[in-house]
Parts: sequence; C-alpha cells; structure tokens
Amino acid sequence: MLNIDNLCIRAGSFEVKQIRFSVPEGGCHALVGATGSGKTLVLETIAGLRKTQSGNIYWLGRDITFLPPEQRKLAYVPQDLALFPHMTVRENIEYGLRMQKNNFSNKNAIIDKLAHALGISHLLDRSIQNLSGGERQRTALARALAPGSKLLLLDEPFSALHEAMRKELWLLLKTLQQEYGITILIVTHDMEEAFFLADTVTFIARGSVIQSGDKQQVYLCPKNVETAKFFGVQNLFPAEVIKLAENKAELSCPCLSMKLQVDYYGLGLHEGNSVTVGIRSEDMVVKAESGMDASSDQPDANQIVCAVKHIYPKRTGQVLLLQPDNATTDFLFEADISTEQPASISEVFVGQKLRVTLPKEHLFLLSD
Amino acid sequence: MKLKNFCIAAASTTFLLYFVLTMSLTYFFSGARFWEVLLSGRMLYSIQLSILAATVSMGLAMLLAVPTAYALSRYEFFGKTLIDTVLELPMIVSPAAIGAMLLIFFNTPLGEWIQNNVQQFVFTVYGIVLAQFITVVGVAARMVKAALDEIPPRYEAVARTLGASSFAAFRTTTLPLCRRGIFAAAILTWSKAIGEFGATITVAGTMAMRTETLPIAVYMRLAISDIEGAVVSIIILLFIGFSVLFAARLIAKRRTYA
Repeated sequence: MLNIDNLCIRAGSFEVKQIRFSVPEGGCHALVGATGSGKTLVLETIAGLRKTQSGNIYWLGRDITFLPPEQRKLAYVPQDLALFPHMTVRENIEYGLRMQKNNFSNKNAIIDKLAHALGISHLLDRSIQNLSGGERQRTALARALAPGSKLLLLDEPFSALHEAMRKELWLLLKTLQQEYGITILIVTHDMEEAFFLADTVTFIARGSVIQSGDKQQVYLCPKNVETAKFFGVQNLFPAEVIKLAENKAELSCPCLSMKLQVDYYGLGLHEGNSVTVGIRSEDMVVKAESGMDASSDQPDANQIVCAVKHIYPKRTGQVLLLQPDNATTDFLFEADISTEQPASISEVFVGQKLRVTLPKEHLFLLSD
Repeated sequence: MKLKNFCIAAASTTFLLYFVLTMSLTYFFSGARFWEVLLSGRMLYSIQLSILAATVSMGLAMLLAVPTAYALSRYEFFGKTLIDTVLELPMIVSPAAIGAMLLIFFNTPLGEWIQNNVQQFVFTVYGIVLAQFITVVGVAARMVKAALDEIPPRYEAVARTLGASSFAAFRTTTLPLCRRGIFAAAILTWSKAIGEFGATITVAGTMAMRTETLPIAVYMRLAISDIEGAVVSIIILLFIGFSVLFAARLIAKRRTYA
C-alpha cells in the first residue's frame, strides 16, 4: 500500500499542506485538481524529487520519505515524458535496468516483452526524435516499468494526445496494471481519465486536500461548492433552510423563485441556515409545458416552468440555458436533453416554455 | 527594408574594419622573412609554449568551470548571486590589473609561502599558466553554464527515479546532451588563453626562450622595431585563433538535442 501521511511541502511561496491519502496495492488513485493546485508537487515529492517539510511517505510498509529517488524503486513518468533524446528507444527502456543492475543479464527478454505489450517492438532501434506522440508515451511507460517497479507515478501523461489515442492508452495502461500487478498514482485534470483509470480520487485545491475517497462517492456527493464545480456540477443554487423534518429539508431558493425539497442525511442543518443546492444538468427532467399530463399539474416544490434562452449542441444532445418564468433576476441554469434518453420533447426552440423537474434524489446540499 | 539595409551595412562595416586591419599586415609581409622567423628556434619555442600553456590552463579552467557552472545552473544556495557576479571579474577588470593582483598576492605572507613551499609562479612558465587560468576560468564557467542551462533538469530527475545516482544521472544524460556546448566552451577558452597578454606579461615577464608566448613575442619584436617579425607572430596567432574558432563554429552548428 502507498500511504501518504500528513505530507507538507513548500515550493517558494507555495505550500502544500497535510496531504493524506492511501492507495491499496494494485489499485489506481487519481490526484485531481486545477492547474497550480499542487498535485504535481505531491507526485514529485513521492518520487523523491522534492523535499518534504513534514509528514511521511510509506510504500509497502517502508518509510521512504527520506530516501533518495534512486533508492525508492518507483516508476515515474513526468508530463513532458523526458525521454532521453540522445538514446534510441531500446536504450531508453534499458536505462533503468542498466542503472539498477537488476535483471541486466535478462534485459533483452524484459525489453522485448514490454515492447511487445506496448506495441513498440518495431521502434526499438529508432531515435526518440522520430517518434509520434503516442509512440513517445508508450516508450516512456516501457522505460518506467522495465526495472520492475510496482508503483507507477504518472503526471498527466496523456494530456498532449488526441482523444482516440488517449483512450487507446488508457486501455493499455489498465491491461499493464493487471498483467504486472502495478499500483498507479496518476495526476490529471481530466475527469474522464480519472474515472476511467482510477478507483479512488483525491481532489486538491490551493495545496490542500478538499475531498478524497471512492470516485463515485466524490462524483455523486461532492463535499463543497469548489469540489462540485470541479467535478462538473453546473447548477449551484444558493438557498435557505425553511423547514426540517425526518431527513427532509424544505429550502427556499430565491434565484429560482421556488421551494425545493431535498433529502439530507447527517448534515448539521438548522432552520435558517444558508446552503447551496447542486444538481447536474443531465439529472434535470425536462418536459414541454403543453405536453404535461394531469398528475404533473399538481403543485410540486421541485418543478418549475422556464423559458429557453439559449441552446447549445453537444455530442449526445443539447444543452439548454433556462430562465425561470417567474424569476425577478436574469438567473440562468442548465439542463441537458440527451439523445440517449427517451424523448421527452421532440423539438426545442429559443423562447419555448418548458417544465423542468429537479428530482430530489439528484439534489445535494453543499457547504460553501 | 530600410532597417534591413542599415543592419547589413553595419555588419559589412564591422567586417571591413577587421579585414582592413588584417590586410594591412601584408604591407610589412615578406615571404622569405616569414619562413626565417617561423622556423627560428625562438619562434618555435613561443608557439610550443603558447600551445602548451593554453592547453594546461584551459584544462584546469574546465575542471573547475564544469562543476561551478553545474552548481550555478542547477542549485539554489547562499551566495549564488555573488559567485555568479564574480565570474565576470576577468571581463570587467583589465588583464594587466589581474596580473598586478596576482603579483600583489604573491607578495602577501600566504603568497610568499606558496612561492617558497609549493611552486614559484612569478617569472616562470607556471606564472603564465596561472595568469591565463585566472583570466579564462570565469569565462569558461559562464559558457559552460549557458550550455547546461539549455538542458532541462528533468532528464536527470527521471534518470534518478530509474536508479541512477546523482553523478550517474549527470554523466549519462546532461553531459552527453551538452557535450558539444562544453567542447565549444573549451575551444573558446583555449583561444582566449593563447591570446592572453596583459596578465601573462605582468606575472611572467618578457624573457625570450623562457616566458615568451606568442602575444609576448609580438610585443617584444615591436619593442625592438622588428615589424616583420611581429607580423609573422601575429599571422601565426591569427591562424591558430581562426582555426579553433572555425572548429567551434562547426561544432555549434551541428544538431543539438535539447
């Protein structure tokens, strides 16, 4: 297990404080956060390239906090890959075996096996200068894995690749992880990448861990507004608690000029508290105002009539920017109409009146 | 286009200045005298001494310059800015002043002790090497640092995660990647050392067949109005200087990796 315990790092005036997370052996953990949040700093410190202010790094039960990088037995792939340009692909892959002198007699077999697994067997004698982006990524992975390290640290390794190549390499990485029993710690700001590769995620902002845990849990139940925004929650409504009863809260939401009913568990809420309510645009249920059935005419606290202000296309449908019909401000919120969902409305146009439901099972309360 | 024409005119003027100066040597050039002076024992000694002293001082300078440049390029440490500034000393202080500083140093108790117990420098060949070394070491470090700055430290960082010690990482990644830059720096250091005059003459004096390097030979022949002999010395210096600069230019033009 990789265990990061209260790690504090200083880089100039920037400080990373009390980073804590753990990755089980054979697991994949993603460090996510915006640019400049400190996630790369954490990765470089684990690799031994930066000194810690305090805290400890344990790998397989061994405290490696103060070991030089060459004694940590970790594989590290930086964002720019840093393939040695004066060496061939084979020499790059061989480098770690040569330096660590382990399995050096068996080096050709190791190199050939890795090259075959990564699909670069035909490139072994080629210069690094003559490789494409994807080939460079594969070579960097092969070089990192050749010495037999069981912990792979990846710093946004696929960010410079186009989507098809990126997804191909995600699959390849997953295969390698299973085949070689590798534990992976990946730094990324790509949510799709984090969700494809990782089992658990840690969200870092301004040098601190904001939320850490199972990826689904972090995605579905963000802890605060910052996490919710980072994980793509488009609709965040300021609200006030007006009534509490049996894990149900009734909120007044001035920006939507409506009341919302929300399920809540374990939150220390009191009537009069200010909270933020979040809902993903894809979780909104949109129906044409004229097409409502009789039951939907019943007053519902989570239903609102809106006017379509803008329509944007997306790959699997459309994004609607909606304005509450009875709103006194210009507040807009988003709702998705997905082509993959059963058609609820046939055609949408700007100015159209729609009835939007905010299902209470998809609403979540956030602290600011 | 006006700017382009102006700049090309400036470049042509610069070339003409040096070209006219060089061509003016032919006014006092005599073929027979050239071979006579060139093949004389005194001139051959000067050439031999100049090449030997410049090679040794360049070697010593590079030995100190490479780690100095590496420290300045890669690490943050107390006094870094001061050391970086002091490297410019030979450029801001005239060579004669550096020679005078060396003479003054050898008149201090420490300097006298070194002269008496380690090595006699003043008015010896060792003094020539020391004067050239002091004059070129800062420039050598500056040039090597420029070459090292071109190589991202990331290569060494990755090499270390792959199991290389800090020295092995430098030896196997940064050094081969900047070897051309270091080689070019060595050549330029050597050419600066072979042409060094002010500090050398102050420390080593002007003794024929003892401390007479090529620049000192030019000075000594001019001092006795042997213009043709001075011209031969200058031509030899020019030939050596242009040869090494041409070699350095060729090396610099080759493909670099960084």
